[in-house]
Amino acid sequence: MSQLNISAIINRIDDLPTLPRTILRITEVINNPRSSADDLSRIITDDQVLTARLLKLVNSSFYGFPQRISTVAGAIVLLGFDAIRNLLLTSSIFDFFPKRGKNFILEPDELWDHSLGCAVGAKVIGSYIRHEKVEELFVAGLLHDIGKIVQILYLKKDFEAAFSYAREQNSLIFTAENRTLGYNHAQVGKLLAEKWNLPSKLADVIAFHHEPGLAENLTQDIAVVHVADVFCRGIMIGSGGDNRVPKIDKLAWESIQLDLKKIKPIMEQMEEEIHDIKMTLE
Amino acid sequence: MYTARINSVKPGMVLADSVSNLQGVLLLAKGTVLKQKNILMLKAWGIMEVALEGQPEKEENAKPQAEDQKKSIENILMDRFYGTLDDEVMVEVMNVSASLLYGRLLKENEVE
Repeated sequence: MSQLNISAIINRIDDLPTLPRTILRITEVINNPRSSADDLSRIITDDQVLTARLLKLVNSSFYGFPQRISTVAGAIVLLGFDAIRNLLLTSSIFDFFPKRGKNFILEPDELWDHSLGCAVGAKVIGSYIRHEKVEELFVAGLLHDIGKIVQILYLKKDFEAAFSYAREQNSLIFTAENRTLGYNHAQVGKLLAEKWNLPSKLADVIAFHHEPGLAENLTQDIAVVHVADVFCRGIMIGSGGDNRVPKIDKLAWESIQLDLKKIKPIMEQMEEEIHDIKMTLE
Repeated sequence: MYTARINSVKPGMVLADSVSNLQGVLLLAKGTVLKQKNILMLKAWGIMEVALEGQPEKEENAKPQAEDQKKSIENILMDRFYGTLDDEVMVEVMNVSASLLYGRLLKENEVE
């Protein structure tokens, strides 16, 4: 199926989830080079829920500043614009995941765990390869399977067909989607990312996390999330809808230049951090 | 004083030097007695190594492992990694996964 046809399917979904308005406004402010910390602070403090969350997160052990941060302005100064945006995006993505118990074929909790595991993995790999923006990798990991949320909510029949195929053939859900539907969650996710006006860097991670080699520009972010996904499947954190671990793409592996010996400490750190971050976010 | 990888740091150890993040913000002062939450926070900041007081610990001997549990983890992983193991990276990922899953199982057994 061509990208155009999936696009038509997505467009027919009337109530496609949206990002909270505040997040959109914050993205605008951050993208504008003339914005000041005051501008950003004002928008955040207008939203009480967001303010409470931001302060809870910056004071959590995940960031672990030695002294308590009690104002939004203080948090912005310490963390910087990008980190704040990523942090707020993280907390709104959590709301976007459907709650359990509505008879989904893939339990949203499982997918959330898989996404969180991949986010932690991307962040840990990022710190080993000295990536400049590990929070960005974290968000990319968290969002990489966002297409599946659209599928379990709005393309239920299609997703069920792919899910059963993956079960029967013991294949990847990605392979099953391509064979049974002619489209896949990476394409769906990319469309959603575009609708949300997420940065194109992020949309590329979502679009190419299974096939990094097909990306026009194989960024480090794509490669890192691709590898984090494989690690996460190896240690069985949550589920993305199948029971397989795909092979790491050669080009992606070469592009992050990770020593084979680093795999062990990275995966150990993932296993340990996932529990901590779960407590903080939920 | 010695330098330790963050993964081998345990609660109760004492910092022999202060630790700052990449921006130079002080995270923990010299002399801090590390708690679990401090260690997690250092990892979250991407700190790889810290200077500690005293001498490095000797590695403990691994406990004898229950063969059947190990075998069942291996079988599950062989299924999951099917078709990928002609690649040395994937072999390493599988081996590390096996040891982590086994560790998780041991921990769960302890709790019960």
